[in-house]
Amino acid sequence: MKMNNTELIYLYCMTDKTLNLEEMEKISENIFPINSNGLYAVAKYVPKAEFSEENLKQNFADMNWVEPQVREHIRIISEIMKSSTVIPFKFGTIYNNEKNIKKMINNYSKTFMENINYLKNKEEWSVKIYCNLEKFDTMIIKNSDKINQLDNEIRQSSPGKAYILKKKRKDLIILENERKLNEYGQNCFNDLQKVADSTKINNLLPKEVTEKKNDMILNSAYLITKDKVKNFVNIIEKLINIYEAYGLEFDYSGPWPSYNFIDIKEKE
Amino acid sequence: MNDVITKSKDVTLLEILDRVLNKGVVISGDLVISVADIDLVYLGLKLLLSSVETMEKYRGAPIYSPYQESS
Repeated sequence: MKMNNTELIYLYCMTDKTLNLEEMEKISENIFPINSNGLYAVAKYVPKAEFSEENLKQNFADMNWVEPQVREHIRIISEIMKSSTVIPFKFGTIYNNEKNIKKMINNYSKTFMENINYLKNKEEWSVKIYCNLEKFDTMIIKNSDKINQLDNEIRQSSPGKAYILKKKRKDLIILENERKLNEYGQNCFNDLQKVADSTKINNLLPKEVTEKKNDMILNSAYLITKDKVKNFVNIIEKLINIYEAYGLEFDYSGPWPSYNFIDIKEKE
Repeated sequence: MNDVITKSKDVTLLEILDRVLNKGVVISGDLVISVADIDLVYLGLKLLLSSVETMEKYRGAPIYSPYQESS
């Protein structure tokens, strides 16, 4: 494949072994490997009309353009991942020419190799936990000894004392809810962590972004050795059984390219 | 070999964006195209997720993990 001066090179990922062109074509007609130093960048020519810095910025304001692009980005990396270990690049990693990509690979080959060796035979999984706070409140109130005790006290108190106790009850509920939400979130994380090689807790995302009815209470990623994935999923299913009644909702997905577990520092 | 990303009902765009825009290898810092030998045209778009911030509102103390995303 030869590029012309209206094209740029888009990179998907690095890998330590390559598919032959025929296999690559099955994934996408346009991708090809760039080889240097025993490493392969999976690449594609893209038109400057769409991907030059200026044009990319403009396109990026258009969700109708972005969505198929990022889905294709992850699809191609995920397909490559089926037969080799990959280091995923950010969306929009674009170079002018092959020579510079080879130079980049050579510059970073040691750290690429270290990362690939670390990630070998492992999968990244994502677990997001959401909470129906209303349902959670109801369950906590129902099951809290402290609150039940206070309820009894209120029933036996004079109106004046009951008034003060009711106020106390309100504060107690907030406190208990917070404590329990943390406890359950931490329990879930601890159980999942047991089978993971590495874990990462990511920022919680607001409802405007998640488009969920429930609030996100845990956003986590796990690096799991392949033969433990089944075990990991079983643990999630167990957690769902335990915590569903409390209004917790689990979203899990994988295997993902190891976006959360690559460690590559840029050279000065 | 596992099927790709199938265990959850559907993979939301959010899951994808959270990775491909926020994470992933960055060899030249965002928009820094001047790194001497590296001819990088454009890298790292994060416009879309710029509204995504840490929300600690629903949990008093953060869940403990050695690897916490900086907010």
